[in-house]
Amino acid sequence: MIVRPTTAQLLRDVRHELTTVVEPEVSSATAQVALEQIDIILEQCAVRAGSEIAWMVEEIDEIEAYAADVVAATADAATNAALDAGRSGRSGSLALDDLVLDYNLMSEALSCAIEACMSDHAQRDLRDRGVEILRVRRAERETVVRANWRLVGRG
Amino acid sequence: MHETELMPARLAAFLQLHRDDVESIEVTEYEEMAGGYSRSMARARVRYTSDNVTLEETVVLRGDPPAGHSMIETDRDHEWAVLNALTEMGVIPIPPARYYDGSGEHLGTKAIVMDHVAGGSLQSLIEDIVDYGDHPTRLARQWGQIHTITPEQLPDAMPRPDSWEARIDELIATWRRYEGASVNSNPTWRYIAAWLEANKPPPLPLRLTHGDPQAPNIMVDHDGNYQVVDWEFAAIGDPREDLGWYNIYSTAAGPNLYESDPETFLAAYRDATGFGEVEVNQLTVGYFTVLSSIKILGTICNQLDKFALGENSGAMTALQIGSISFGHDNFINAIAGMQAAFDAMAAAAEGATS
Repeated sequence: MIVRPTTAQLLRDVRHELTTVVEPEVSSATAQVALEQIDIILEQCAVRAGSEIAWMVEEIDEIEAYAADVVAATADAATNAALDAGRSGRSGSLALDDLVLDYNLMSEALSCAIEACMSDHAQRDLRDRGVEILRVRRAERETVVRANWRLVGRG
Repeated sequence: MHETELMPARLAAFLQLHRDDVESIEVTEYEEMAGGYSRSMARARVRYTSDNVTLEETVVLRGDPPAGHSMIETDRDHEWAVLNALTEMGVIPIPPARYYDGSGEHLGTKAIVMDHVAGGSLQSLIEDIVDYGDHPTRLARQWGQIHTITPEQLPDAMPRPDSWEARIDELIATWRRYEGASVNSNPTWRYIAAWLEANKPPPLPLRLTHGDPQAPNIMVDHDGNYQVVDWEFAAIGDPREDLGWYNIYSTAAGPNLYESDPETFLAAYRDATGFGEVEVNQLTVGYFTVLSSIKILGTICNQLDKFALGENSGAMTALQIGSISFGHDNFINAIAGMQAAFDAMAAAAEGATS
C-alpha cells in the first residue's frame, strides 16, 4: 500500500490545483463561492485525516477513566449503564467506521457522567474535570479541525 | 428558480397573474444571488408595458433550495404569513412582500417575490470600516423595535408558548432533543442543556423575535435607512434570544457591534424597549447567546445528520460542521465565564451575610 503522499498531502494538492488552475477560469459569483467553500472543506478533511483516529482513541480512554470515577463517587445508574455499554460494545478496531461507533458509545458515558455531577453539588470538582475533557479534548481539537473556516459568501 | 434559463418566462407569467392591469410583462434580466445561505435567492429586472408606457423595476425572489441540498429546513408558508403581517402592520421597516407561489407550480419551488432594496447589507457596509459610527446603537434600537411587537399583534398561526418558563424549557429541551436524535452523541450539548436549566435568568414578556438577527439581514438603502430581511425563523419568544443569536453569529462572522461596546449597545436597546437592567445585561445576553443558538444549530445538526445518512449533500451544508464546532468552543468558554461570575456573586453575598 502506498501511504506516502499521505491523504492530507493529496487533499492539499487538490486544493492547490483548484485555487491556481480552476478558480481563475471561473467567472460566476455563485461558483466562486462554492469553490471557496470546497477549499475550506478540503483543508478540514486534511487536518482530520491526519489526526482523528488518534484523537478518538485517546479520548475514549480518558472518558472511560473519568466515567468510572464518577460512578465510584455517585453510583449514578445512567452513567454506570452507559459506561458498561461503552466497554462491552467497544470493537477495539482502528477502522474508522468501527471507531466512530466506539467513540459514540463512550461519548454517551461522558454526557451521563457530567449530568450526574451537575445534579450533585458535592461533585463540583468531578464536574469540572468532565467539562475540561469537553474543552481540551473536543472544543480545542475541533478548533484545529476548523482550520481556515469562515462563513464564505455571506451577506 | 433552479432552472435559471426558464425563469424569465416563468416569472413574467407569474407576475402577470397578479397584474391584470398591465398589458405585458417581460423579465429582461434574471440572476442568482450568492448571499442567500439558507434559501435560494435571485434578482430579476422586470419591464411593465401598458398603453405604450414602459416602467421597469427590480424584484427579489426567495425560494427553497433544491431537494437534498438544504443547509437548513424552514417553512416558506410561515415566512410568508409573517411577512404579510409585518407588511400590513407597517411598524418594522421591511421590503414589502408582494406575491407568493405557495405550491411551486409557477416558479419551480415555493418562492416569495418581494421588493428589491437598492443598496447593500449592513454587513458589507461595516466589514471594511474601523469606525462604526452610530450603527451599534442604531442596530440595538432596530432589534429593540422588533421586540416591541406583542404576541397579540401577530398572526394566529404563529405558535404561542404558554408562558416565559414554558418557552425557556422548550428551548432547553430542544438542545436535548436534537442531541438525542443525532447520529453523533454530543456531550457538549448535554452539558449546555444541564447548565442552562440550572441557571435561568429573570423573565421578560414574550415578544416577536426575528430568529436570525445579523448584519447580513439588515439592508441599508441609498438613504441610509435599515430594512430587516429574512424572517424565516421569526417566532414568539424571549426578546433576548435575538440579542444572544446576534452576539454568537457576529462573533463567528464579524464585526460584532454588540461586543465593541456592550454597555452602550444595551443602554440603547433598553431605551427602545423599556426593559430594565436586571433583565437585560451582559450576563443575561451571555445566557441567551448559548440558549438561543439551538434554534439554528439544531436544524443545521439535523441536515448534517441527513448528510451522514446519504440524504443530503453540498458544500454549503458540509461547511456548517464548522458552525457547530465554533459554537462548542464559544459556549464552553462563555459558560465558564458566566459560572465564574455567578460564583463570585455567590461568594460576595455569602461574605456580606457573614
